[in-house]
Amino acid sequence: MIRISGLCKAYLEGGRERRVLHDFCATVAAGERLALVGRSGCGKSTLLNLMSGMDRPDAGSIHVDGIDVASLGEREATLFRRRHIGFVFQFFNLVPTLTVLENLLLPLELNGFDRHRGHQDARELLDAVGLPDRENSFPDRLSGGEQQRVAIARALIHRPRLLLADEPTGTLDATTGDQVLALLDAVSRERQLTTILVTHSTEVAARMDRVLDLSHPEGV
Amino acid sequence: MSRLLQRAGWRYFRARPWQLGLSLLGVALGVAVVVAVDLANQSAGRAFALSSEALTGETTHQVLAGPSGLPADWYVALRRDHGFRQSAPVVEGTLESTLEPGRSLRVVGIDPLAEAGVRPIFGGLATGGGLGEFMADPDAVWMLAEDLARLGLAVEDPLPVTVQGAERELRVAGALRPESAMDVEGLRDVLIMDVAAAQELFERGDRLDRVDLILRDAAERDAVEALLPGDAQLLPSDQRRDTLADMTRAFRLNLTAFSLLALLVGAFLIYNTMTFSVVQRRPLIGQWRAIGVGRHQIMRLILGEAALIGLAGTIVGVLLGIGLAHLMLDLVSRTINDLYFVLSVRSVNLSPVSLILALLLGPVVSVLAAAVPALEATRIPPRAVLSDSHAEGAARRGMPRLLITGLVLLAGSGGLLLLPLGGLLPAFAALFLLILGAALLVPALLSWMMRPAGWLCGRLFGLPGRMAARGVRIGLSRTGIAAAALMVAVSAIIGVGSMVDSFRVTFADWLDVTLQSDLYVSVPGDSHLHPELVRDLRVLTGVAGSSTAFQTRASDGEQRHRLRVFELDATPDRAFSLLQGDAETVRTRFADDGLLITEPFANRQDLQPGDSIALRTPAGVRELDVLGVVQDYGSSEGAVIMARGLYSRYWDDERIGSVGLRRADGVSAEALEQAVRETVGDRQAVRLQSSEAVRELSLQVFDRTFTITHVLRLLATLVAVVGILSALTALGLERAREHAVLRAIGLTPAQLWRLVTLQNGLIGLAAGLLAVPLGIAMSAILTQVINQRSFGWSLSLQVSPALLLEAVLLALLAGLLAGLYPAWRASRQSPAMALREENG
Amino acid sequence: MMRPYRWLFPVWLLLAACSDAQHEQSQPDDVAGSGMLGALSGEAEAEGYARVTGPRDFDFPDDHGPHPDYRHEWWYVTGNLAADDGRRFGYQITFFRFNVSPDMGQRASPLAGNQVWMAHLALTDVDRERFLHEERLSRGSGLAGAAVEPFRVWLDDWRLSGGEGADPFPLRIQASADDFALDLELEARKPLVLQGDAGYSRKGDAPGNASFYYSWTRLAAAGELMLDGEEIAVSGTSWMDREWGTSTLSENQRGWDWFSIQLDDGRDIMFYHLRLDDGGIEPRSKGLLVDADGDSRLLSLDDVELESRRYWESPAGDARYPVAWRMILPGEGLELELEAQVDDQELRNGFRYWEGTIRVRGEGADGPVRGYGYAELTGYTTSD
Repeated sequence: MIRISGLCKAYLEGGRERRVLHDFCATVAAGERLALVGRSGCGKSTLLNLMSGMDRPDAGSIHVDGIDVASLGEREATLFRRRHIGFVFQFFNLVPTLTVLENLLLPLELNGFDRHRGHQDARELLDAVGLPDRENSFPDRLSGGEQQRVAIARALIHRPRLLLADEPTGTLDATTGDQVLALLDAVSRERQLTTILVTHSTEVAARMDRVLDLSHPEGV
Repeated sequence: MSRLLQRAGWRYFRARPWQLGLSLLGVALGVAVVVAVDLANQSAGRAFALSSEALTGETTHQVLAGPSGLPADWYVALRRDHGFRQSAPVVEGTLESTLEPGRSLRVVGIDPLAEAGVRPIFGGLATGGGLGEFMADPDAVWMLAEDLARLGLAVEDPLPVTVQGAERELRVAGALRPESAMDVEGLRDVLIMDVAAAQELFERGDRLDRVDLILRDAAERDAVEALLPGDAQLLPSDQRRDTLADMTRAFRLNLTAFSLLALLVGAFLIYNTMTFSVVQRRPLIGQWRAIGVGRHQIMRLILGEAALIGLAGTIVGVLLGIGLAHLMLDLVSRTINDLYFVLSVRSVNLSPVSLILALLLGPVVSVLAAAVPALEATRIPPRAVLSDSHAEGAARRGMPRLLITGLVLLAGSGGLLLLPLGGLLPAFAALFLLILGAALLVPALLSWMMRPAGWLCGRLFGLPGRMAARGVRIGLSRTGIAAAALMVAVSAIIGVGSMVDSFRVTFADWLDVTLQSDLYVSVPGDSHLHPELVRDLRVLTGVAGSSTAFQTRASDGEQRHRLRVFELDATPDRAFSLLQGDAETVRTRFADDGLLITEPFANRQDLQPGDSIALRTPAGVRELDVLGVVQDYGSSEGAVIMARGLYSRYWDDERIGSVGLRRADGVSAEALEQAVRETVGDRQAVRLQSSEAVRELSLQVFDRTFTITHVLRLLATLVAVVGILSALTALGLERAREHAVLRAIGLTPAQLWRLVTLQNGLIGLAAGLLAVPLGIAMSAILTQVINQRSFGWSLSLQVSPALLLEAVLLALLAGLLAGLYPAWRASRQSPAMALREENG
Repeated sequence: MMRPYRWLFPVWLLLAACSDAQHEQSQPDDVAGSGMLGALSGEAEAEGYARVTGPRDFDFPDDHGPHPDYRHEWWYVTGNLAADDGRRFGYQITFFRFNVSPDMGQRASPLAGNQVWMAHLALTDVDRERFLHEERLSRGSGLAGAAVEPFRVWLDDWRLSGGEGADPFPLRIQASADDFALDLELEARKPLVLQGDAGYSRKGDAPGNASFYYSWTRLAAAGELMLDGEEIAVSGTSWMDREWGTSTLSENQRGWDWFSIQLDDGRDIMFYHLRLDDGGIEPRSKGLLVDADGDSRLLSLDDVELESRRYWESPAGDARYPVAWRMILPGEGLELELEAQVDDQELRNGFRYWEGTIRVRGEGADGPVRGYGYAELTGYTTSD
């Protein structure tokens, strides 16, 4: 499903180049659920950004389902993301100007899916994440855990092939974090969704099929 | 501690150079306009004072001619038979040099030998080596060396001029080089020539305009008073100067008020920036509070930042204003010349007081504008991790308070207008209350407007459309200010534009009523038609009817009123638009038993039909009844109108300024003009103008007079565009994370750009729509109250739909244009970077 | 040719005033006044004016009036007066007329004109050693002028006004300055004397370098002075000159010392020295003696010995005037001591000169003689 080879990425920081990824190679099978771990700054988020086409590598290639993401133009990358990727972030996941339902509908609308069916799917998903009665609330009326659950629903609604989650429990308390994680775990299994999850928590990482420690990439 | 706080504040702004730069620019522009107008006003005032001073010299009193003029013999007798040696005759007039068209030069005809004790600057000039030339050469003029240099002239060069419509060639006989810089200023654009030469140049016969005197005591004053011709007047010199200065005061006050409007918009910018900075630094301020920074320190920090931004912007603004002042000065002096009297202002006088005041004004206004956000900052609880929505929630909760305050201000504005207070200051206060009140209503109104707008945009553009409208509502604490600033600027465009339109339409209508003849024959300048020529013209075949007009000044003992003398073609109630008074009375009595007065005159003198005016005539003081008040826009000073028959009864004066001829049926305009030309031949240099040409010319002068209004309006708009640009940029910065999420979930840059632009467009459009009622209210105050009180004339309010549409479109465009950069920036921003920043 | 160069003196006054004013007004390099002065001493500048080229038949009273076509003209009165209590005074009132532009065309304005008038009024209060003076300037055009039948000369409210007849007497002087005033009536005690060749007073070899000149050397004066708010009745003798012409002055003259003397034996003497730049005396310097009966004879330079005896420094600086002289007329048997009654009688206007009353004591052939007179001293300022 995902084949990464010879990936290099460096950032300029204060005039000095900081290498984040160097000649990084990895493969992720379809339906595989991978945990990315490693100390801060080792390139976990960068890797997600590169895989989603939001950032460009300095060298190397990322093939997702045979598409070389690194070679996509800005517009193609956006369309690729829109169609194939679901995102869950640590925070600021939801569009504050849209209701819960609208937040879910946004990816569908962007993909030009049928509006009527979309409503059904969205309601089902909200049921699935346990928020059936909040569809007309604005995000700022929701708790952090609720917001994150909506975010998961939104990441799934357009049936992406790849779910990318960047520390989705980072700002949540332990109990809520567990609930969110359990949800994520459940839906990705159920849908056999290729999932890449960035986390600091070894506990969380342990729930995944495989753990990739970016601090020691050679250990893969 | 507080050093570190300041450093943190500084770094915050340094990281947002656009936001900082735009606030600085906003303050700078606002201050620049105020400074420019103030300097221009001051310079005009100073030029007037210096010119009065230079030309008044040591004079204590002036004898001013009545309609019959001051015969030279009277002056001779005053000196020779009554021993008033410290007296100097003056003949004044204006002309234009063809070297510098459109610029009036003031001719002052003096007797150099009489000047020594009276006007020190001419005392020496007079007995100069060119005395023979001065006295004997009717073309010889003296002028400032500086003016000569400007015109590229040297001594002995010819000076081509147009005087009374005829081309003449004068000769530069010498350069004036007063030692004092003040006298140099005072003599700008002044041509000095011999009193006799000036009489000849302006065809005054043996008449003088005035005699300047130094009178030592009341006994001397009484002695001169007793010698005055019946209709002349003896006035202290400073009184006359004050009267002239008073005439322009309303005009200058109006300018200042307009310039303050620009500063007000600039203050919105500061408010905007500081509010943003507080909102954005909420978590930071919360942390500070947590580690023990006191409320006062927070307050001081925010106000200090505002003061610094204000000061920096002000310094730039003052420099900018000095540059702008030159443009303003030109416009101000042009308007004064058109409306009041010939005044030459060539250099901007950098009055230190004005500059210091301006330097204080900027920071003070900035601190005032930052007071609300600063107060808000002190209310931030320690360790506040508040979401935007909480902040917005606070803003929304504050809305009713704003709404009420706004309504109270509006009520105050209305109250000020309804109260029986005269004067301009209450009127301007009402105007500013109206603007502030309306601005405070903007957030609430904007929020309401966005509901239907969201629905409509949702229909048109789907979710992004709804997002745009909701974005406006959600960011109300920022979008509200941006919209308010833009609304104020656009309403100024509507208000001032409607005022000018109203004025122009009213003026044009009045011209149509006034210009009842087909062809006008006049002598340009302040000279008069030869009486025989007038008689011949009026009996030409092809002339069905005719009228004559003549303007002079007559004294009531205290003041000298403009006196217009008409021989009418139509009945007086048809020739004038009667505003007050009984038409029948006017018709029967005007010809020989009463006066009409113009509206400004009635307002200034507080007169109405039934009152009477005492006029000095050669036969003594005569009380004349005011029969009616007529509409008139010819002079803001106002005038007394008298029928020729009545005038002739008191004054032995046949002078006529212009003749209006009405064509008989079947006579073409060309034929009449041809006949008139033949009759005039080379008897006199006259000007022939059709009523259309007069109308055209009058409107041209009108438009020129209002150029300055347009410029000020433009500047206010510029400030507002900078304001909205600043607000939208900041808003865009704040939404960066949101935008990154949108990009992450698949919005293309173009879609994001459209979304942001739509939102900016909505703000602009809303501001434009809100500006319509405010603009109309402003123009109502301007036309019905301020103009009335400043110039004494009433205008009918005209609001042209085209102007409204134009203004709304302009607001929309301003929103869109100002949003271009923020939208571009948002769409270009790498979502990865934006997200990273937030994680870091 | 009496008071030969004095006719130019007012021009100098006027021009000096000009150049002074120019200095105040303009850059130092733009001294139009001195340029004018230079130009005026050229013959070309006389162009356009009427010229004095030979004797004329005087026509009185018309010739007491103005001759506007000539460049210069004056009515010059000086005198010594005494009050009833013996206080002594000297006075001067002079009206100068100039044509400043001979070629002026027809003009419409009644104020237009080419005639400029200047008047000097001075009073010497001998007992209190005071000297008061005032200068006035005016255009003609009714403000200043002269006319006959009746005779009058005026500038503002300073005036000489006389009778209808062929001579101007009785002539009344009315003039008030800021701090004093004169109101006198003059009667002729001797008839008018024509100076030079029957009133044709040549002053140079070039044709036209001359003036018409006549004088009344002894006039009885009586009237009032107004001084210090006090009206003082006075009487005494006066002298009046009339002269007009156009011509110009040669350049090597420094100034002059001019004297008019009225002796108690009835004789009147006029004599002057014209001082040259080289320190010498112009040989044409001369004078006139009028006997008590009105007969007169010319005095040539050699007929009179004149010697300065005492000098006085002007408080304004840059000037040192002689204020006492010995004058000997061997042919008349007269030896006279002349002395200023007040040292400071300098007129400090634009152009500075000394014109003041002098007391005369001496010995004649028949015993002691006494008298009073006037002296005029020019060209003593070193800065001019």
